[in-house]
Amino acid sequence: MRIRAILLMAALPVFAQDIKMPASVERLSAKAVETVDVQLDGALLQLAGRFLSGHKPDEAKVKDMLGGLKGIYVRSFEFSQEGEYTAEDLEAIRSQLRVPGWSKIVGVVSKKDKEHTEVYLKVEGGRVGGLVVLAAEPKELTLVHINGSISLEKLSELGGHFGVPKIDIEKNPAKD
Amino acid sequence: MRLATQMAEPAAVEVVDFAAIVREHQAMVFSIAYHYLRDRALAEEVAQEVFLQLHQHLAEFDSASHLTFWLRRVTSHRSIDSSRRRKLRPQVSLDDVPEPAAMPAVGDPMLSRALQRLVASLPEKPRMVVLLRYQEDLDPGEIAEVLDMPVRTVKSHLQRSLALLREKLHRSVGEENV
Amino acid sequence: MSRLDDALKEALRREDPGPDFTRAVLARAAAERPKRSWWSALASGFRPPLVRWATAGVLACALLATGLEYRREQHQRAEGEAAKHQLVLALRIAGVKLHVAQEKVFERND
Repeated sequence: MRIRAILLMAALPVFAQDIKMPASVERLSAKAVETVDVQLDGALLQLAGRFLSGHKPDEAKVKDMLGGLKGIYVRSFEFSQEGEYTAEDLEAIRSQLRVPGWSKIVGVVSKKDKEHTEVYLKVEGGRVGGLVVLAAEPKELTLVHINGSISLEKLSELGGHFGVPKIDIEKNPAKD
Repeated sequence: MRLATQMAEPAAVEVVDFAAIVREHQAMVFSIAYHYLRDRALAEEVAQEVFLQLHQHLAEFDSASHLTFWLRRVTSHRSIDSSRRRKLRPQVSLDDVPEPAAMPAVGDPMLSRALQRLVASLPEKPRMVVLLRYQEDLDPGEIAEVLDMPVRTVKSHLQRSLALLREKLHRSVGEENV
Repeated sequence: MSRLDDALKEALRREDPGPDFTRAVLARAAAERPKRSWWSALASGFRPPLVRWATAGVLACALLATGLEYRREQHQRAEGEAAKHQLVLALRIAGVKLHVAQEKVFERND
């Protein structure tokens, strides 16, 4: 079992620095009717930042957030029917977040809607160093990883812009 | 305006034509998305996607009116899809829109903003019907073609939406002639 | 036409997104266009007689240098706009999912 785990880890495509996308989840793109794949490392984030206007309030907010970020990675799969991914697929992602430094701050299961939503924060030296959102719905699976110093307060300020809904950070039980 | 491009033409000419098309139609495309979604950045995204899709099919248009029809149709459908993908109800409900103390004059920015919010809180299809009627000045038949909807459905959406908007404004000021 | 009709026309009048929008669209369109070398586009309509090849060569080199620099800038602009688009998309998805999580927490606490 241990040898299998080592071999599996060696074969995992890199999703981000410390979160690796399991091969079984990567293969979901073949079944998905729509896939979103965003991989912005530091260099690309800097490049994107140069094209954000400091004069437009929306873009200025995003530009302000980029300073501490090392990378933003999103994989999202939308399927035409239920049952295209398994509990094992989710566990392969979750197991990487059950390590020192990462804490699950939100875990909601809706049996009625068959939805799981989990939010993890990485805390380094008392500061937030990463954010992961894992959202599993019957026909959609989304993993978001924001690597680097992310201010939840600044993230909430994006609410109402770019199609980002308003997040009331004061009501959120998560601590920064 | 030359719409069709041929393989033998140098790339520079295609860019000039496409740029001219973008400049000519960007206000229309952006405004449909913006008044529908009430989110400037999201509307710009949608509008960009529409023009990129146009760019891939530029050679297929044989008239300016065909192009305009296509742009309205694709923008409408993409705006509706974008709104659905957000999986959110509009953040302002009809009950939340502040009611002006007195009937503002037509052209009053406060009335315009209130109406924009009211329109944005209408259900999906009626919202787009109202937009195409009042922003684009299309008649019900033209709206029906753009949205792939029966004409009687368009008229019904229009009637009911206007009644709703009228009632909201009437309640706030007691005016009959809105 | 009623006052409401006039007011709606006023409220819903078109608004231009500005020259930045135009530039962004053209940059992304350029990034997605099938690759065709700038030189072959120039050469496709250029069929000089044999005697003019030397002059054509000098001119071509000068134009090529200018063209390459222009292409490099266009390419970088296209890459930057594409990265910006991806960034906005990523933040939007993150924001939507966080909002869903927050709503579910509130539902539980109510």
